Amino acid sequence: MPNICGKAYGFTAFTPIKRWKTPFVRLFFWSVPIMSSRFVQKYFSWIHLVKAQQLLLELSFIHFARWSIVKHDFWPRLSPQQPKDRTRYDYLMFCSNFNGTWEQYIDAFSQVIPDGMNMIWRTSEQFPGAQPITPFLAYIRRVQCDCDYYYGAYPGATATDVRQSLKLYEQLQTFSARTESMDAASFGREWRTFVFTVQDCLGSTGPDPAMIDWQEMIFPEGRRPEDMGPRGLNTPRSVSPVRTSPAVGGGPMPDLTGA
Amino acid sequence: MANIDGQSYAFAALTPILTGSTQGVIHVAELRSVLARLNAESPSPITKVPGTHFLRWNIIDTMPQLGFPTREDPLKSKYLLLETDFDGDRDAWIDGFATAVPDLITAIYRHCAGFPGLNDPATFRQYLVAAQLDTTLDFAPYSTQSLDRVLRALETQRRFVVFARQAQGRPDAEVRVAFSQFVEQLRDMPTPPPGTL
Repeated sequence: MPNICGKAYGFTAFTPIKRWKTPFVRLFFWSVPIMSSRFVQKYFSWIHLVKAQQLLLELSFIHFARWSIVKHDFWPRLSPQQPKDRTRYDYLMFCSNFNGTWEQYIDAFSQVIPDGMNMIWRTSEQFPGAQPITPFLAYIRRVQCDCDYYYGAYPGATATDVRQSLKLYEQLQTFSARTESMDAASFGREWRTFVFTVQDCLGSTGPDPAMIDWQEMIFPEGRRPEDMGPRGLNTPRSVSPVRTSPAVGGGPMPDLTGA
Repeated sequence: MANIDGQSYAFAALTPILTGSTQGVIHVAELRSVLARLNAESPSPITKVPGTHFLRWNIIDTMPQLGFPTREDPLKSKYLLLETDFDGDRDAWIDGFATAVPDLITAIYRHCAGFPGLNDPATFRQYLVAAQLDTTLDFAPYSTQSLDRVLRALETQRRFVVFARQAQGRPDAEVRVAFSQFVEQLRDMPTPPPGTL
């Protein structure tokens, strides 16, 4: 599916905005980096708007995301043969590279940062609000534009994996330099402390669990629970499967066709 | 500028797709077909484009039509959206893109209006820049890290997990020696190719 590359999902959406609202949208986006600065977060986090913006920027499942305003007269005309497009509305384009399924992503947005979502899209036409989720999901479905091709350079890694690995990479270099000349006993102590410190960085990259054939992993060689006896997977090999009477559903199906 | 965050550049370009057909080839249908075939290619040719973290192409048939009370807003042309996040300078990336996958670019952009070809890299750069859509707000949590560093970090993590597991319960002296060897191996390790992790 072109929207998916390994563990990453490429999401693209365009939402219409009335032209007179566009300066307010720009003003909002302009304020985000200021409101998420340490100073503002430290002294003004009691303000609902400031807190919501920080939550938006702290989402751990996003690799890269962006918002762009497509002005009504932006549409490029790169050849004299091509007609010039001017749309009635301005559009807010949202592109995101995130982990997980589409539903998980939108659900997380709706549950965790409904205020952040409302702040961004409240100026968009017919935006129903981030909660309740059903109309929000329906709206997103209507404004999403599917990818025709999608590429990621590290498909087996989530955004969390990347952040954890970068932290580990940095700390490992420091640890290596610090312990270079230590004797074995001191190194042992330092090593155990180090492993304890970086234990939250020991994730693993690889195929997306949603794409793995779990059926084959759990039931190798085509075996199914019904082949494994009354306690399924936990049935010891020496215990034979329970035989049930054909009358209660076990055994071969009776021929009902009359043939 | 919002296009740049740290050392990462968020680039997007909307190029109009030629309307109708040329010698029986319907441009938008052929473009869809090229992109569909590209999905089946492994490894992706984009792995050859230096410093590219993510890249996508979307064919935009029309803007979303939400119905009453929102008014209809049709486009006269269909557009190809190129959206990518890469390391460093925009112009250098476009030049690298043109050098790394010239056949792919020609196969895709020959269906777009005004495509100048790739004989002169500067002309193609100007073409994409003319169609560039500026980013209003960029969100890139590890924007200060280059693709090479991310790939090396991920490979280091993979190897470290194995090493830490093997080191469990071993005498300190043994772990000390093994760790030195492990660090040496990491130092000599080539950067994993994009698309392999």
